[in-house]
Amino acid sequence: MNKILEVNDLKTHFAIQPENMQEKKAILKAVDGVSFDVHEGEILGVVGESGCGKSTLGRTVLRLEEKTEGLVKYKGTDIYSLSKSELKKARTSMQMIFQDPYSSLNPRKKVSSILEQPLRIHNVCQSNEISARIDALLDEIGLNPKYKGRFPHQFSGGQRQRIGIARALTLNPEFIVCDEAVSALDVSVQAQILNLLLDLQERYSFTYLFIAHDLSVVEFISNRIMVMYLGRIVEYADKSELMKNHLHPYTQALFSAFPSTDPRGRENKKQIVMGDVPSPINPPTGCHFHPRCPFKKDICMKEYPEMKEAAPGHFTACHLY
Amino acid sequence: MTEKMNNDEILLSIKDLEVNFYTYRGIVQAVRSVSFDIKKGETLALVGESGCGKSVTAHSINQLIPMPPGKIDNGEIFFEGKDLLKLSEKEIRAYRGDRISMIFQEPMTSLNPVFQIGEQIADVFRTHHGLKKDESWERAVKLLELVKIPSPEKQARSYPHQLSGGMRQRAMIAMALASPNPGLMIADEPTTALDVTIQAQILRLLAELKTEIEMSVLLITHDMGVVAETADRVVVMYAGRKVEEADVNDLFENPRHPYTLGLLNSLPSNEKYRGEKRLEAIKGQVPDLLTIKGWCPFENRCEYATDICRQSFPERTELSPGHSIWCHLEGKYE
Repeated sequence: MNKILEVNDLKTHFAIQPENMQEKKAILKAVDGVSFDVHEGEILGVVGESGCGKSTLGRTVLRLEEKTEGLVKYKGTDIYSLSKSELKKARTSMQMIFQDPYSSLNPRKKVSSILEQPLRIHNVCQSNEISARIDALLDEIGLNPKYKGRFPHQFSGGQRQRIGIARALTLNPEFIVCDEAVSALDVSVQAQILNLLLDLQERYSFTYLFIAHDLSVVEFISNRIMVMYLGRIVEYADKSELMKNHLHPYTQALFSAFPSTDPRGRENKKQIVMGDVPSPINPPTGCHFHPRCPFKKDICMKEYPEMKEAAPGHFTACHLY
Repeated sequence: MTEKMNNDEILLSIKDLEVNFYTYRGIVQAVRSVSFDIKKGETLALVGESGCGKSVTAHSINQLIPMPPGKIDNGEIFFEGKDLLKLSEKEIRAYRGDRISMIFQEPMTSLNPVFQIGEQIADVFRTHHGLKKDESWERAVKLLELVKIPSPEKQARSYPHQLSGGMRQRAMIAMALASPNPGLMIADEPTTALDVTIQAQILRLLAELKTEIEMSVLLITHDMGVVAETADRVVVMYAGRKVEEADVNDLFENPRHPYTLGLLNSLPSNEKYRGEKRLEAIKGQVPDLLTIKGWCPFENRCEYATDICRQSFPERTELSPGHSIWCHLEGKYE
């Protein structure tokens, strides 16, 4: 399978301004040495709790955030080596769908002008074709084109998310980062949007990097899943493999914490991981998960484990394997 | 607190509750003729999507809805036989935080940022039980220990911003328990703002506390997973109406209202989607409560709807003891 995106040892660090003059500048390592590939036409799910760096990762691979170190290659080209005009061109094929359908649409613009702007900036079609193109787009995402003169506040959350999707589709992209694209929606609407994303993917063979904190959503939509914890990938595998075997203790904790919809199963609830997620400003030494890990050994406190292939096609960074 | 638990004793009874919000755009019919009981010692979940009226219903109990624009236009809320809606503001205040306590979704905004958490909990003992400063502080520290906050002595002196989300929620729960005789705890989306591993900790804590202290819990949530993990009985609401009420096992194994069925089918974690490529989504969207008609509010999204559904709101159909739906089809569809 062709690699559409190659990420090698990517780091995104942020400098935190000190609160007073005595303190030193702190470094928040949002993404700290992440390597993975995205294959053409697949849906790669990224799952993790808040503060694990999954959103920063999504933004950095699109160069919406500047990297600190590492390599991001999109279709063989290092996107961080591109000039401004080359980047603008490259961006037509890499798009993003945002979490919050309320704040990601300009409230003062009509739907038609929200969708028209990318078409004009990138000169993708003639002025007289724009209107027809917008109608086709709205039709595509399941919104009646007669509403294109409305403002975002006149739509419900689900409809707004559809507009956000239409905007990502305007330039015929190939690779789309969906950053918590369904998290803000009610469950019945969430199901509609998930179906829409799958329909579009099938029709246009998009590649998605699907970022979410909701395990059930990631599990449903993805072909492959990566689990992140405190800026690093702790485990990744094909969905079917990962659903069967959770190797990393954090993955095990995450799956067992996820509430099941079987009320009879609650009695035999497995072990719950205790403690809080540590701060990414000052992560624990060694393996970042060791303070919460029920299986920790001495080495876990000293060394961060290497990523290993613990089973065919199943990678994890844990000293147990 | 230690007396024998009688499972059939009713603690709270809501009858024909009707809450409207009088806004400049018109009347928002937030809750319409909702009735249910909460028994002593049980956890009742009020579940539904945003705007279904679950929070307004719960906040009506201790009258925390903003009035105006809100107004309880009809109904009775009996707590241990006393109609709370007939009490004066002073009388209802004696219930709030004492016999009827509340935990909120966002602990950061519901705790006072300029007081230490121990101080805020001690405040409840001073206000409701007239305890002295030292004694109330001691009791506060004990409660923090009860909700498993590590080194409670020290943490009692923390301000809310110094605690993590999970710890803040524990502090909120401690505050809700600051009563020698807790009756009902209203938990309004208690874990929605939390990460899933922290959510599991808080849900377990709530379950453990319930076996230690005899109290009832009214759990408000949109998350079917949380319902399955914690509830004894479930009331499903849609657009201000109650549409189904059942024991938790019945509800998940045999949902009979088309909305409940659609809601469960919308969950990507549903067992039936193993290897499946599409979800069975409910089409359309929640109706606008400003313009809602008197008939079944789910009619425009329901795949089984017929003419009768557009005539009146359905009467109750009891399918089995404790399992009722409000649907014209009376559960007869396939």
